[in-house]
Amino acid sequence: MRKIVSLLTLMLFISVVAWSQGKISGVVRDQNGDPVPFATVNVKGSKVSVAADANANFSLNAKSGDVLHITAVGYDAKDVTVGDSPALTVALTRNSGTISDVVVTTALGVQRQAKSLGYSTTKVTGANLTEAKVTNIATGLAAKVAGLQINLVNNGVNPDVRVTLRGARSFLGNNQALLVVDGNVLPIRFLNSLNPNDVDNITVLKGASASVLYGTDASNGVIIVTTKKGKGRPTVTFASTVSMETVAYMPKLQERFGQNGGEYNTTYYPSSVYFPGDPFRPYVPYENQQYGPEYNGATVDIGQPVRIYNADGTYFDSTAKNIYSNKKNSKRDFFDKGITVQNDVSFQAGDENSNFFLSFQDMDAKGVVPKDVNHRDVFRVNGTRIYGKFRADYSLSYSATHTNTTPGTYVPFRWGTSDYVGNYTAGSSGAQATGGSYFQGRPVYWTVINTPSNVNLRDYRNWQTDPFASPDGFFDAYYGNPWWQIDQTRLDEKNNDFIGSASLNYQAFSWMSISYRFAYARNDYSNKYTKAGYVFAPWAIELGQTGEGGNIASSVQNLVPTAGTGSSSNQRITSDLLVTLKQSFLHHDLDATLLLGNQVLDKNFKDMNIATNALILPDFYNVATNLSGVPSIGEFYAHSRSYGVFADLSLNYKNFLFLEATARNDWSSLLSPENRSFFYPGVNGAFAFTELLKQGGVLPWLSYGKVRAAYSQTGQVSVDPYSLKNIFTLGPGFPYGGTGGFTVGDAFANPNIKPERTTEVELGLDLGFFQDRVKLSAAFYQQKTIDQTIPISISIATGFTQAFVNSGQMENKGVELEGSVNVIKSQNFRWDVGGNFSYNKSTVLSIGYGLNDVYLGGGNTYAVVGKPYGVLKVSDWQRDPAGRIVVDKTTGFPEIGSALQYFGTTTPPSKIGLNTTLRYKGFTFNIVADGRFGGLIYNDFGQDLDFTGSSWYSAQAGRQAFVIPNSVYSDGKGGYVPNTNVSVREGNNVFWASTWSTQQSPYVNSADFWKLREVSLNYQFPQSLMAKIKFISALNVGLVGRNLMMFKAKDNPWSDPEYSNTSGNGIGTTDVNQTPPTRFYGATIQVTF
Amino acid sequence: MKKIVIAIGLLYIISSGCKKDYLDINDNPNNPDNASPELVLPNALNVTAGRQINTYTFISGWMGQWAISGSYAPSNSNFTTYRQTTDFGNAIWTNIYNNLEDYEYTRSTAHDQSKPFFEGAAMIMKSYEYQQLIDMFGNIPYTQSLQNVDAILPTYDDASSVYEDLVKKIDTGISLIKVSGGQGASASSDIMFSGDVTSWVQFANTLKLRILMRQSEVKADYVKSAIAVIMQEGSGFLNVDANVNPGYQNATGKQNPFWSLNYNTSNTYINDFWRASQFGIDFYNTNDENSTTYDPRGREVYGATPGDDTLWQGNDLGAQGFVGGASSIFGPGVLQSVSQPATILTAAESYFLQAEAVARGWLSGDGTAQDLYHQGITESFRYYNVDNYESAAADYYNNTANSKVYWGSGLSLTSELNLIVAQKWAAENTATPFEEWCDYRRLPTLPFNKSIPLSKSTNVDELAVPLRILYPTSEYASNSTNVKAQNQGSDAHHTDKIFWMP
Repeated sequence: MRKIVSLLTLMLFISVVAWSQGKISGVVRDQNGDPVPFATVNVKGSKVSVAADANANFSLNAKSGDVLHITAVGYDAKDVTVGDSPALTVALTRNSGTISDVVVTTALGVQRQAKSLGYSTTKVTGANLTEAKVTNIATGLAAKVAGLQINLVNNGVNPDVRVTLRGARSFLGNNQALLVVDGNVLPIRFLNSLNPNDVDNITVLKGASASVLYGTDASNGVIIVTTKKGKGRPTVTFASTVSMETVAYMPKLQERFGQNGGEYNTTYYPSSVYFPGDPFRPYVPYENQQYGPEYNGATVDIGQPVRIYNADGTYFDSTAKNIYSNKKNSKRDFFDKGITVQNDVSFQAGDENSNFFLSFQDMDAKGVVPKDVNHRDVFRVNGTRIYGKFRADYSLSYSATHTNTTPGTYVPFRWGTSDYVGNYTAGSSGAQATGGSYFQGRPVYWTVINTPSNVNLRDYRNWQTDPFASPDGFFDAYYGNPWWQIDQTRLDEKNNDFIGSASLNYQAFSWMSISYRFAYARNDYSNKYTKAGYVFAPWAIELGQTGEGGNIASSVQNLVPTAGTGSSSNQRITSDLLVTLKQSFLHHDLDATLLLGNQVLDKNFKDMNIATNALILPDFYNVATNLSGVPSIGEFYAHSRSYGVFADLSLNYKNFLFLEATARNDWSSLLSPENRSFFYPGVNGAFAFTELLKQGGVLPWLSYGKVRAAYSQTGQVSVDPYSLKNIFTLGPGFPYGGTGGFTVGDAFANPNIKPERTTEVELGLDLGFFQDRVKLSAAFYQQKTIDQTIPISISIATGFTQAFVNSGQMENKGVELEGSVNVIKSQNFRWDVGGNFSYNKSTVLSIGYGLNDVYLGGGNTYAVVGKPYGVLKVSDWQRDPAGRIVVDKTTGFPEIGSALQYFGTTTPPSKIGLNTTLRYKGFTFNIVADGRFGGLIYNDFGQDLDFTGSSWYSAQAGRQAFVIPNSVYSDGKGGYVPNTNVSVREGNNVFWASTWSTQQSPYVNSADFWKLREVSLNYQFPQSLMAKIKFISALNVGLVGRNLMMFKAKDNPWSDPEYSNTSGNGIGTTDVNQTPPTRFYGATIQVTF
Repeated sequence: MKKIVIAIGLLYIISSGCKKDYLDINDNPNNPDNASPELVLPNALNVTAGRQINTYTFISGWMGQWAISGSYAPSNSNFTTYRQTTDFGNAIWTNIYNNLEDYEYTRSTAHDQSKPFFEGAAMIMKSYEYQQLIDMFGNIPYTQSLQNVDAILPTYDDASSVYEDLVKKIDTGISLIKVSGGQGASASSDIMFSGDVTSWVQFANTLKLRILMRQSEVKADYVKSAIAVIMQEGSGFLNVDANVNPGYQNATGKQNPFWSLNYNTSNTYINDFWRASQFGIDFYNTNDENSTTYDPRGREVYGATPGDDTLWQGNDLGAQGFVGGASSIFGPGVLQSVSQPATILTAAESYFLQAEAVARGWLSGDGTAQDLYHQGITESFRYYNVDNYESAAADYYNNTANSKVYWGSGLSLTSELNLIVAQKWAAENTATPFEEWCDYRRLPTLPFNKSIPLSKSTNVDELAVPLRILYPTSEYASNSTNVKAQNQGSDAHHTDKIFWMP
């Protein structure tokens, strides 16, 4: 690896002198005698400078007595006086690394010294990434980079993530960072298919200035993943990690009240039970809601009578009994302990002319939701081979992911690793296949969390054999038995990802190299959704139709089995041609590098899906065997192309002053011929002032200092293919036989859509003190995006609900700070502390068309003029000018407001990441924590929990009438009187379930949190011990924990505020489709042979 | 110099690598980007018909025709409490304007392509749609509506003047249909009348009469003069049901809409929520075949109670439920088959409208008010598939002992109107309930309307059937300045009348 770094650094910074005369030759080695290729050898006091070759040999023109100054990345510089011998050997010492030596991979894979960059980057090494043995890269990046926000939006076995840098730029377009893996440009979703242990390092290009060369996709910053290359002698490494996952906490639930849904008339509901002296409604044995009497330990019936048949056909009716008391932790105990096992094997080797890396990972995860599993195999092979002036690189990765889960209400049809997400409805005229329970289509978590707390669901596992657990006999008249759902409703998903790139570099002349890279990425996704049927027993149906209350049996009667299947393929082909030209001017004081290149990108997506809502056989799920003969079908294509040409000129004056100018023009198939060409420029510069100070011997404690500035413009095409013309879709039900019928699409297309434009200005300062033991980096940026492509929501009275326009402006201003301190550095003990902070202030400046907001998705999140990007807009009570809730003077009930109200932003503006590492001999103890502040979350499922009454929130007033705090009532003359004495006329279900939970504002909470993301303790067995065991060269064992603790805002009794019902722009709403937060802890072992 | 030549050469190669048509791949393979009027009108008509029962379920509840099943726990839904938020009308508003856009596309495309039949039919249907919007919401975007981004924030028009324009638009539609002679229309492009000109013109005249009679209490002179125009036209009124049937069949999403509310594709009865109301059962005196007020339509609209073939019973809106559990399901007259047509306007209504206009002295022509009233009842018996409907209807309306129906001599106008409204209620039950709610609001003092029961919910804020639907949340979100200019309060559904209400 270091060889290539050196090579590329060399290409950039060293002007190769084209003449050759005189004959001093030598070889550069490290303290162990291994060659150090590509070191720079400079004759002090002259301009003569050469580079060692791949075998570490160099030769140059010098005379005896000259002093050679030898430098190499990662080594201390050394001066050697030329003796009489024409051949010399130089021994360099490895250094611990100073800021100046850090080499980062910048756009298009160009490696540059951090010192020379005029924009902000953060590098995360593979070791930092996998300290806590994460199973996906996004999890490992969380909290480690200033300005990078990773949201794990749910908690499934194969979770969705949202990755953004410096907030959002586009109202509705893509705001997620671009992913580049070994030069292969990919959508961020591919992050899940990579093996974190294959990562050598990740460079995060935070701003558009850094990424401008990537063209239209890069305005959101780039995450450049460089995978491992082989080096040194052949080694085999085996690593294994086992970790457990448990539910960390549940939403705060009430433990006092049992079943009642509002029934009070015991004549109508004879099975209900009034407890003497209890002021509440009667206990109703089959209710889902929990507005009943207080627990008293009495033995009561639960559910309705169940008919139990004997072997001879006779039967008797029986009703199950329940001790009317809280069953502690019964909801948390519904969930399993998850187990994740990761096994990794890798092989690597390298020499001067080639390197090779091969790895295999098998990851098997069993989630906390019973029967949810995820299995991933990743295979990678990387290599480099040098033949004289040619160098060939290749990087290939294949991953197969197999996930099997219980789907929620809507079966996701996620089109694999693509930009397209949808349900089975896409393209089909029939009803979609819906998942969920056998009545009401609820997700499992809904049923679990809303089950009355006098019930322990674990008792209902055996639905096949236990008549009280069967769908006919299950006690709850509204929510189906979740165990049936887990066993009988499955979603099976398979992803196959191939990511490959190959490049050939030809060093045509010392001053010119040409490289070509071909990159191919493909995702093949398929899924199969199955839901069994169930024919309810006649006695159960009759019970529901003639008995009191109702039941699921009579409502559903015959649950028909359903199934759906779909597959998609998504491929990207990228072709890059890059020419690098170098020249030195002003007696080698000024080095110039010019990159010229082009890039051609072809994206092709297709999917097909088929589903039926009625299969013939109860447990045979081929869609073709459906009852009607008419399954719903869908077919969808998206094909787009673009190409760009670019030029990048970078100048280096005496290694302390740097200037880079960039220009790119793109052409995109997504836009009309008049608009499809667009140009964007960028310029940045850096001044490493300590280089001058050092020469003057000033401020010796200041080891490194750089100021930088950058300006850039980028463009993003935020429309999907085929967005320039109105479309017609088949009307519901059509075609009927020979009768066709189309309806005008809801969106009004605009053929004149242009790209969105983002202008970014960035200033930065990097400092290192005391030999860089204290490092500080600061960035200040301002971005403005104009010509937003928005399908503005327009009044349906126009005939359309959406119209595409270029309108609206948004601004981001922010600061990012990163720092680290090496507190203690001794032979055996080392303590490092690091931290990052970012603050982003986004403002939606305008939308245009007289509109005040634009809906962003997620249900409740909007871009609102004058407010930060992404604010909640939800239903609310009437409020007086002071913001107090207006209640009715006689009933004490709050008055419903007439319009939705804006609340705060769902994107926390302030983020803090902290980490510390303690090393003592072979022990390494590492902690990563982070906090986010200033955002809000809307807990949609708080409304659900208050509807059923399972929440602590709904029982906080003991289900008694109370005066709504901070409320007022109207004085009838336009004024308001503080309400101190008018209690709500009812404090039970009428208030909580039918009134309070109907408005969303009570469930908007602070999203602030602190999380202890990672804690790990690793022990590296000493080298001396390993030397005795001949066949093992290194042995490492460790304990790891993730998400061990979380502190959330006091007013949030619900769930993890990082969760969201979408990974799109409309984050900020959580619902029952996200299971409760979990924590991981495990053990790991790594052996190198 | 050599370097520069090479560099320029490379730059040329790099920037000229692509063929000219390389980027011309943006033609949509997923959805068509144009459609003929012949292919848009069928869906538009089907959506209109599909709305008339399934979307207006709450009206059937308010009007005492349906109630929530007795096997349901007490419901505090907005339709049982008469509460409303701006969410209440969202789906309806969107559904109708969406539907209007399809008619507007049909109209303008047919105009451009010189297809007068489709242009005319679309104009008539637009008036049908706009009227329902006004009857629910009052002032609505009209002159500036359906102009896509040309009027992105459409202003609201005065409901009364829109009403007058609707009549004019129907007149234009009638002349276009007549000009067309039905040319170009077929059973698959006109799923209502298969291109029959007379039926379309009669439908248009009936629709005009519906629009005009709605204003009986506020603009009598105008109504009278406008009805004279219909008489002048001369084609008369609808004597058949205006039904559509695109080819309903037993497949998911393809069933008759009301059927799909009640049965799934495997023929299981799934409607456990909306069932019979006790008021409806009592009106037809369904349980007692020997009663003088027995009306055979009762057992066509309502089925027996599940588990008891001889018992008809219903719940009261908002009540706690009753001993014995289940309510009557819907009956064989309204659930004839999965492929039954869906109704847009009934022949019975046509006759009842004429009967009222004649009774008021505004219309003369096809018989007396009493004759027309009797024909309305007969058509209703036919609609519900009563055996030997003509004689059964005659037996029913000739029964002097049944004051619910018998039209004796020398009745006051109020008494006549009361009979007409009651029979219209009976004829529109589970057919076109929207009209009954309008009559209820138009003639609130009639004894029959006052007999319709109010909700028994304990959570009612104001015990009265709402007068209107509040402007929807979607308008406050995307057209807020204009909707706010209407100054609608949060209690407007109980306080603000539609312009035609006395």
